[in-house]
Amino acid sequence: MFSSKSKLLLTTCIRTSKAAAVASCLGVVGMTGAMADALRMAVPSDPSYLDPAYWGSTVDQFLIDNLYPRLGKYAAGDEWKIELDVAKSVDLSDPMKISFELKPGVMWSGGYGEVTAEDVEYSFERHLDPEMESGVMTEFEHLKDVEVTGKYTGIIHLIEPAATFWTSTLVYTSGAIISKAAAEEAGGYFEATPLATTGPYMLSEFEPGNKLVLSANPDWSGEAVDFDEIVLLPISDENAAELAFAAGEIDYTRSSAGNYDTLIANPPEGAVVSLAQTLDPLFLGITQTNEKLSDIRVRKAIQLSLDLPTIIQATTGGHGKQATGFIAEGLVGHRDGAALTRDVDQARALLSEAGADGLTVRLDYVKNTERDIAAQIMQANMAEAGIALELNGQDEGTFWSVDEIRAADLELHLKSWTGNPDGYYTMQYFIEDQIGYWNWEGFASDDYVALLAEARNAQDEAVRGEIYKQMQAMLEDSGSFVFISQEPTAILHRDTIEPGILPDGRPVFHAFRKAD
Amino acid sequence: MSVERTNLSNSSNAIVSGFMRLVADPMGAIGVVLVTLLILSAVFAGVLAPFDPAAINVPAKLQPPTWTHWLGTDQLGRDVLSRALYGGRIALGVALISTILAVSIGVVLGMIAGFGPRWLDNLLVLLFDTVRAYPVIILALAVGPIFGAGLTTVIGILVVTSVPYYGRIVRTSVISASKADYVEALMAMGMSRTRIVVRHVLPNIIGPILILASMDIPVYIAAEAGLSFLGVGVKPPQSSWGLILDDGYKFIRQTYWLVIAGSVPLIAATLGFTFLGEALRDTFDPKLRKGV
Repeated sequence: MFSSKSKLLLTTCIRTSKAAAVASCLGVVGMTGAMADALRMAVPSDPSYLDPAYWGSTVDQFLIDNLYPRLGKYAAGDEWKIELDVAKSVDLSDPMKISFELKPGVMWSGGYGEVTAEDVEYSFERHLDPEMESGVMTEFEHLKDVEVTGKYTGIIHLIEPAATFWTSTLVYTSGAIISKAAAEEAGGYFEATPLATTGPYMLSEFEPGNKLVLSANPDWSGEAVDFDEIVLLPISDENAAELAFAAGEIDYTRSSAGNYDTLIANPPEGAVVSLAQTLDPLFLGITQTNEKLSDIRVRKAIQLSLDLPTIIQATTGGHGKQATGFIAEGLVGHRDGAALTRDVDQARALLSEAGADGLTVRLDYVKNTERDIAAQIMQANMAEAGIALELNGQDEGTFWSVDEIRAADLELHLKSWTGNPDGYYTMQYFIEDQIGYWNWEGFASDDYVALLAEARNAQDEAVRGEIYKQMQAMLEDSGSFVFISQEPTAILHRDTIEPGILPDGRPVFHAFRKAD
Repeated sequence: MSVERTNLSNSSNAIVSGFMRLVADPMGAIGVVLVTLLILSAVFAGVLAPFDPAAINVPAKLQPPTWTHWLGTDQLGRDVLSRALYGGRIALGVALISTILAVSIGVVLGMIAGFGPRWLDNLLVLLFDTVRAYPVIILALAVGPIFGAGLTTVIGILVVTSVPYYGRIVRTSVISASKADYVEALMAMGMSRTRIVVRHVLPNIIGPILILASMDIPVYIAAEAGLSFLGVGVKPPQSSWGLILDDGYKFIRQTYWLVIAGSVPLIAATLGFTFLGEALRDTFDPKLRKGV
C-alpha cells in the first residue's frame, strides 16, 4: 500500500548495509549473466507479502499488480488511464453499486479453473472479516457485499455512495482478485508465495535474498510477451544497482533523481536514461500525540524552520518540485501555490512562546542516500531555529514496524507513501481509527472526517478536487505535516528494450518489449 | 638527593637514547612524523579547518579540489578538508579512549584470571573465548540497532571485543610470572596475592602490554572508520573518516575525491601508528631488538 511499509514486515529480510548491497550486486553476477531472453530488473527488496490483504512494500505492489487480475487497472503509458482487466464490462452508473461481467476463460495457474464472480466475492469480502485483520480494510470499509449473479457476473454493493472506491481501491493494488479455491485450500492465508495467478507471467522461482523469477505462462492465451523470463534481483541500494547495470548484470533499474544529471552526462554503455515523476508523496510527519509536540506552536516552528527548496535541490538534483500536498501536480485536487516557506525568526518566536526553547526531537527515517541528505539538511535547518534534531536512520523493516510502544514514541518521521492517482487513497488514512497504525501524525478531526465522506460521495471530479484541497490545507494547518515533494525517479534501461511502465515509473512486466 | 638526580639523569638519558634509536629506524622516523602530524592536525583542527565542517552549501556540492576547498566538497557542499581534520579528532579520540579502557579492563580481568581461583580462571577464559569468537563487524551490526549509532556504541564495541585479547595475554603472563622464584619467595614471606600481583607482577608485564596497545591504535582507527561507514558509528553532523568514505562510496560515479579524502588520512594514520608501534617494540623489547 505504501512505499515499503507493512506492519508485517518484521519477518522480511531487507538488506540495508552497503556490504549487503554490494553482496547482492555480486550475487547478481554469474547468477543471471547467461540467461537468454530474460529481462533482469533491480528491485529494492524481496517481496514480503503477496496476499493483497497484507501487501506492504514496493516489490509486493509490483508483483501483486502483475500477477493477479483486477476488474480494471491503470494502463502502461504516459497518462493515467484506466482500462478493464479481467472484467469484460463494468457499470459505474449507480453510486450505490458496481455491476461487473468477467471475461470468460481467464484461467488460474495451478489448475484452479477460471476466474469467476465467486472469486471476486471472496477476494473483496475477506477484507471485511475482522479475523483476517486485513491491512487494507480501511479501503473496503464502504463495501457492503458482493452479490454473485452468475458465473461471470456480480454486483458490488456499497454501504453509501463511494465514487472513490473504483478509482482508489478496485483498480489499484488492493483490488487484486485471488482464487477462492486456492486460498481456501491454503486456509485463507498465504505470504510470499502466491497460490494461483493469472496473466502472461507466473512465479517460477524464489530464492530469498537472491532472485525471484517470473516465467512466461504457457497457458496464457492473451497478447504474447517478448521475454521468457522476468528476473527480479533485490538490490536495496540504488547506487549499487547502478553499478550492477554498468557491469551489464541488469537491464532495468530505478535510481535516484539526484543521479540523473550524472547519468545523462556519463551514461553506462548502451543505456537509456529517463526521468519519471512518481506520485509518491515524501513528507515529514510530526506526531501531535507526543507530549513534546502536542503544542501546535512547536509543530509550526518545525514547519517554518525547514528549507524545503534546498532539500529538494540536494536530493533530486533540482528535478523535483516542492509539494503543496499529497496530490501531485496535474491530478484532481492538486493545490496550487500553497507551498510552505521558511521563516526562522518566526520559528524561534513560536518556540519561545510555547516555552520550548532548547527542544530536542528525533527524526526517524529509512536510511538511504537521499533520506540521509534530507535528514542532515533538516538537522542543520532546525539547529538554526534552536531545535536539536537527532537523526535515527533505520532499515526499512524497523522503520515501518509499528506497535503500541513505537507508536507512542514517534516524534518526527520522514517518509514516502506510494501515491495513487486518486488522492483519496492516501488521505483516507488520517483518521482517528488509524492512529497507531498508519496515522503516525496522530491527526484527528471531525471536520476532516466529514470532508472525507463528502469527497467519497462526490461524483463530480471537480467538486471532489476542491474538497481534497481543503483536506490537504487542514492537514498542513495542523502543523503535523510538511509536504516536501512527489519524488521523481531516474530510470535506467538498456537500449535493447522498451520499458512498459506506468506514468510514475512502476513497471508493467508484460508491457516490456524488445527494441526493434 | 644526588642519587635521585643521578637516577633522573639516567632515566632522561634512556628516553633520549630510546628516541634516537626509534628515529634512527626509517620506519620509526616515518611513524613519528605521521603520528605527530595527525595528532597536531587533530588537536588544532579548530584552527586549521578553513570552514565549519557542518556548514551546508548545496549549490557548491561535489566540487573537485579548488583553492577555496582544497579537498573539494561533499554532497551537501561541506568542505571536505575541514571534515577530514575534525574526523581525525574523532578517530584519535575513539582510538585513545578505547585503548585505555580495553587495556585497563583487560589487565584487571587477566590478572584475576591468572592469579585467582581455578574456577574463576576457567569462567573468564570461557568468556574471553566466547567474545573473541564473535566477529567485530557482526557484533556491531547486531548491537548497533539496539543501542543506536554513536561514539559510545563504537567505543563499547571496540572495548568489548578487545578486552579478551589483553585479558588472555595478561593471564598468560601472570601465570608464567607466578611460577617465578621471586613470587614464590614473596608468597613464602606471607605477602597477599593481590599485593604481589599489583606491586610486583604488574610492573613486569605492563611494558609489553603498552607496546601491544600502541600497535592496536591503528586497528581502532580503522574500526571506527569501518563502523561509521556501516552506519553504526559517528552520527551526523559530526565528521569521521569513515563517513567521508561512506559518502565517497555513494557518490563514486560523480566524484572520486571523497574516497581519496577519506582514505588518505586513514591510510596515513594506520601506517603511522603501525610503524611507530613496531619501532617501539623493536626499540624497547630487548628480545626483538635488531642484532640481539
